[in-house]
Amino acid sequence: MSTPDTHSQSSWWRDIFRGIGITLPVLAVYVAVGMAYGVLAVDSGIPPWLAVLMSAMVYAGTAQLVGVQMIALSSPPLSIIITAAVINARFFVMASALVPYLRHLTWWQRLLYGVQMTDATFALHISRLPHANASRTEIFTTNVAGHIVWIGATIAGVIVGQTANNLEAFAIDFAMPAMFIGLLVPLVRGRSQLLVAIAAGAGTLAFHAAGLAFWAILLATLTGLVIGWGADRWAK
Amino acid sequence: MDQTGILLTAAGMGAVALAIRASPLLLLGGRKLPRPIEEALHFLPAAALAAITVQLLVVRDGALQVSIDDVTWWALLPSVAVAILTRSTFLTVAVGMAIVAGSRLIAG
Repeated sequence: MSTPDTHSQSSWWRDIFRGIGITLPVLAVYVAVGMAYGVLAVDSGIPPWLAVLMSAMVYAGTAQLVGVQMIALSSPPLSIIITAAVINARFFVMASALVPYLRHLTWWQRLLYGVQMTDATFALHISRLPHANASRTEIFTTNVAGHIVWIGATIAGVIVGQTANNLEAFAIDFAMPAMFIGLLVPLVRGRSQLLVAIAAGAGTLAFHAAGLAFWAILLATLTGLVIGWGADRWAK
Repeated sequence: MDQTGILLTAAGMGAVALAIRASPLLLLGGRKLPRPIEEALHFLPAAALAAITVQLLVVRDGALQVSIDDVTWWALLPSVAVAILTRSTFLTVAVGMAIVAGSRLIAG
């Protein structure tokens, strides 16, 4: 990036503050969920430094949470990586939806965006970027702040997990489900999306009951897709 | 699993996460996917988030666990209500966690 002159330097700071400002609610959620992950990781026997490193390298809360549970159950590494891929598959669609609004970024900026895209920053940017003329500084401030807070919350979580003994009192175990409810509900617009969500949710229960625990998320997601697609076709 | 194994697993998870998130941004450009696939993929975020949400709620230690005296079940309905009314992830998490923490405090 070129050296900013005095004029753009003040707008640079304005963009930094705006980037942090619009993401503050997300950051608060990350503190709770990141701590929940940190606590669960040390509880599952993951060395604290590795739990923190995972937050820096993977930066995908659900995959990390499921991953440490699978590590605790001594699942084979390949099955853990495949599950992480399945859980993260939704990001492919989300990233595709953002392509039109990130065309002005250079290839390495898009790569960095890919490293730091989450459910929450996607929800934020997909509603903001089509209407607002957000600068690169603002976009990346949002993403970098999220990544830093996520790592920081993990550090807090592993410390708390090693010292405290009654974590349920803080409701930290409900942080992650609550975040997903808060992300899912605004996505459900219209009857077919509602049908998809119900089908995928019921599918998860059914596939678990059928003993297909390892494949439940993948199969239930596909069930939802097929039902949504079919319902849309049928309605036309 | 030893530390090297966990480290390699984490590296693998990071690699797939990056490949999935960055590839559309780097490769898709202006190109479009075939229409039926695009129509189906339109539902993927809702389907995947619903599946994960249910899994988070009812699966503990790899097994189905639905017990109605679990306080998280009582926090579920108000959380969904807050999400519908406010469409705010932050308020949903704040109210949900407050209800769970509050009921545990009262229940002792």
